[in-house]
Amino acid sequence: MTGLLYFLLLALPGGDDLAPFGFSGLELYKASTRAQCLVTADFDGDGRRDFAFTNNERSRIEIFLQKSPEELAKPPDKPAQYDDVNEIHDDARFQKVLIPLESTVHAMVAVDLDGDGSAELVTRSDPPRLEVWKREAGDVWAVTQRFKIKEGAGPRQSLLAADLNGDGRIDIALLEKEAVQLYCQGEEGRLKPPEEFPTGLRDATGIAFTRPAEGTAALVLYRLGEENGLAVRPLLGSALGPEWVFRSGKMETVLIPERSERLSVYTVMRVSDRLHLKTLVPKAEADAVFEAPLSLYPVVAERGIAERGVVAGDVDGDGRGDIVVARPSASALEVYLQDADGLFRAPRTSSTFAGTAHAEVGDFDGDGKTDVLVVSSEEQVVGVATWEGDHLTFPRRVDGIPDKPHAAVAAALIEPGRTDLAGVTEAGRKYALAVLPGWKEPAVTVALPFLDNRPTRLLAVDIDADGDLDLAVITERGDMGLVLNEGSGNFTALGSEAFGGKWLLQDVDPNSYTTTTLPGGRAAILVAKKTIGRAIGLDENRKLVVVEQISAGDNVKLLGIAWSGEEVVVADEKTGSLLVLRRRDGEWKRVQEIELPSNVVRSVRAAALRPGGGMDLVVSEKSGFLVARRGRQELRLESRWSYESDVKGSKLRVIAAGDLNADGRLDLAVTDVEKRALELLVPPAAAGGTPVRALRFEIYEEKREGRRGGSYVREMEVADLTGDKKDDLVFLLHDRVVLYPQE
Amino acid sequence: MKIAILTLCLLALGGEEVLKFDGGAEIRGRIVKETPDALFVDLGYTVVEVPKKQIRERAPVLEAAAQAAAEQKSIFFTKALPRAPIQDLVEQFGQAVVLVKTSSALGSGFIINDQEGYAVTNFHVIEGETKLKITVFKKIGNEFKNVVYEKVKIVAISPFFDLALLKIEDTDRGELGKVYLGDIADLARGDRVFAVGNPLGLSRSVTEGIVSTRYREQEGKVVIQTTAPINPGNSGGPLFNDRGEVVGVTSSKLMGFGIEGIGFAIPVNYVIDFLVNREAFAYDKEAPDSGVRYYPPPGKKRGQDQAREESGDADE
Repeated sequence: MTGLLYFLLLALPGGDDLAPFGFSGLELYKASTRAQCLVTADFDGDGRRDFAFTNNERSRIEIFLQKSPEELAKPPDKPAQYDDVNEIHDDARFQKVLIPLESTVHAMVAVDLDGDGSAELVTRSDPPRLEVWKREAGDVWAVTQRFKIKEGAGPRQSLLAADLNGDGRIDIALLEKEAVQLYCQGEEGRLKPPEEFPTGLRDATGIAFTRPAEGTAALVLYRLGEENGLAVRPLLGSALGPEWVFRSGKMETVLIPERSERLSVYTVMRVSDRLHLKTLVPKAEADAVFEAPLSLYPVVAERGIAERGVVAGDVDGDGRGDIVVARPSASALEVYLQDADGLFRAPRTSSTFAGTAHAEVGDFDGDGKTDVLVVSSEEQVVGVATWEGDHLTFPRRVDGIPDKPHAAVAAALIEPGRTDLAGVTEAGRKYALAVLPGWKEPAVTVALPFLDNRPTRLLAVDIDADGDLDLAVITERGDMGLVLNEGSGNFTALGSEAFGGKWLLQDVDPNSYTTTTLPGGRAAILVAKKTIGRAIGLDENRKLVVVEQISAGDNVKLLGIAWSGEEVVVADEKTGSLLVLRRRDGEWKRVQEIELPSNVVRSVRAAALRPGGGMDLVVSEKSGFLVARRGRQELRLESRWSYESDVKGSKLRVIAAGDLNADGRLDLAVTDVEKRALELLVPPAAAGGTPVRALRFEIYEEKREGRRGGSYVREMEVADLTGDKKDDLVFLLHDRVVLYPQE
Repeated sequence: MKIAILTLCLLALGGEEVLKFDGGAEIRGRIVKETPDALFVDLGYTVVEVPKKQIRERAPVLEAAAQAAAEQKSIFFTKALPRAPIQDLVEQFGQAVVLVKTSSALGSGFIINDQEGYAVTNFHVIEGETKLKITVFKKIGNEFKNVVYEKVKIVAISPFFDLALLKIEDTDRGELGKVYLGDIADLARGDRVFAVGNPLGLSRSVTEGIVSTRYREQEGKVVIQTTAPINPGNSGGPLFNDRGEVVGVTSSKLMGFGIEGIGFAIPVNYVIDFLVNREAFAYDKEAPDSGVRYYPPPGKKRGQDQAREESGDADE
């Protein structure tokens, strides 16, 4: 055991092997307790790095321009005056430039947008606007671009600058409460109007860009103090891909480097105060049925999606399943086309009837083009939109479904091989079913006198296993009525009491009703009821029978169910997860549990999204839809190492990374707020190692008993601010900027 | 000579007297009216009629008090003062109340040592500031003249007690008035107090009230709660008792709809501790407004030594 320990220690960078760390002195610069947004960049194009911060106390941005060695050698213009008795004299290394503000800046980045060698400042401020500041003549700065934004206030890390779309030009990303705005740069260094991408992780604390060696470039959103607080959005050109949410644990501070082998997160955890390096690691899980995490495609919350408005189907005819989302309040249909990588591109939006809440995909007229059937109760119309190369046409009205339609389905009800249209309609709280044979009038109508509640869905399923498709009418309360197909265009309507389903269907989740074909080939309806899932059908006496009952355990509340191949998948509200169940030895056993970003699931549907890929899943929830693809790979955020200071009572907080001993390797600086100290760490060179603390020292001493704003190091950067090509450490503390030049 | 003039002035105004009775009892108060048969004595909370025939001995308090010498303790002064009408006390000590002006705020303060130019104010008045000005309202004849001093040094600060000690550097010695610090132990609930300050920049405003309680906990400190109206700009000004001794430093008040007459003052015993121990609260030029001393970071030599130690620890 001792031998093993010795071996491990030898493998670490030991104290003697380390290039020494040290600083040449302390430099203090007057700021303000409300100073924030510390950034470093070359603002005057002289090749030397400068720093800047916002001072909202004085409504200004303060820029400290690094002087040249010649300027530094000059004697000061003015000796210290006695009447500045209380004034501290800033070190002469920088020349201060002030930009007056008429707003409160909440976030700021410094970046050379137009590539002229000097950095611009991009600010997010209140009154709500995003502004680009550029140095004009001398010390004069002016706003060159201004965009109105929805929210002026936001976290410090809500703005980033990076080449997001890989076109060689720097772009800007702005994090809002429920969306990310991407400002891509066009010609001549100007930002284009933003593209909005809704986010599933709401009220995120920060945003970062990463381009790991393994993996794709992505935006990372994080929310401090949240158990599932990290979301990754791959960048697909100038658009954001799906959102993958990871269990991060409750993070207190975060640093995400742009370049790393894999997507990496340095974080101090809230409960333990330990510093971790967490990386995204793909794992092949033997029992996994679906890839994890799920791919979330968020929508703008205020516009919402229809409860029954997420349907899968091959819209563009490329053999891959696409997703159509109905947006009632926006009077829009959004088509998410699947690309070859299995990801869904940013949606193509088409107009539709107001209040469209129901959609179905298919080629209803047999012309080879995909159609989308839509129903709008609000405008009392059923329509069909057709895919025309790259968009859906405005739906053409289908005549013949009378009164106020609530739901519709296209199915071969009367003649084999011919699609008919069936719709459930309302006239003065009286409900009826209308069937248009071959989509043509006159309609065959069947009264549904047993319905007491508004019907919301219509399912076509051969529930009595007689070879003809029947219709199931589902109401908003979860009741079900049946319209049995007697052949030759004759139908018989049965209420739940008539088919003995009144009590068996009590407490069934209304959104859970879905059709399936059981492994034996029998068609059935799936429902979720409290802790159980059921496949139901009718027997020869037209009475409801439970064909299969699936128990997911005791402590669950099921919201949705789907039968996908050999597995049944249920959404559990209590654990906020999808439970994948497989029959083993006559019992349904959990084989996989996949966390959901939220527990507000509306429906779980099996869908053939890939040719030959088996049945995947589409999960509809309030904030968007999720896709689960079959596969064994799970991406996990795993801790590669953790570090805990051995100083009793220490509280690690702000992290910065850079080469602090000029040995060409990345070092970490982390503050200890409790002991007012700084620790410099050397991360392990090899897997399995732990960081070595190279240096720890106290930053300051407090004379006072009380605390007030700015008492801790609140922002820290590593950059060469002395022009010696070595990284220095600079941070905001109290009302100061503190600079430690590397020795 | 000075004492004689002061005595005459106060007698003419109806000063405080001690009335002694047969049997050894005595009362002390201000004579507000005298008739051939009786004296009417203001005891502070009421006026009583005392038949002259009952009085064995009658003597002005003033003489004894006036003769009591001011005592310098540390850099401030104390003195046993007689009760007096507020207008008299304002007349006497108002000149020592000053306006403290920074680039972003106005506040009040009071001079505790006219020879050395020391003044006390709230820390929050000067927080974050380095350039201060003090305006003294000097009475010259029947007129007040504002004299502005611009070389003001911050000597000590205590953010916790919200106190700051300032020193006016560019004054001729002795040209400023000064106040005497009292004793918090002499203050009781219901005692009359008054504040002098510059609320909203309205210089030398006087407000009167009583002590609501001497013991109000506020953020780990015990403060005086008073009904004397306090407004922005009063901060740092003195709260006097009815003898003209400073018993507190007005600092804050409760604000809100329907809230009135809840002001707070830092008790004078905290002020005295702060002044006596001012070295411990010494202002640091390197960290002028944060009460913080920054350490220089280690150089490579020390860094190397420490890394070696860390490595040695790890090996063990």
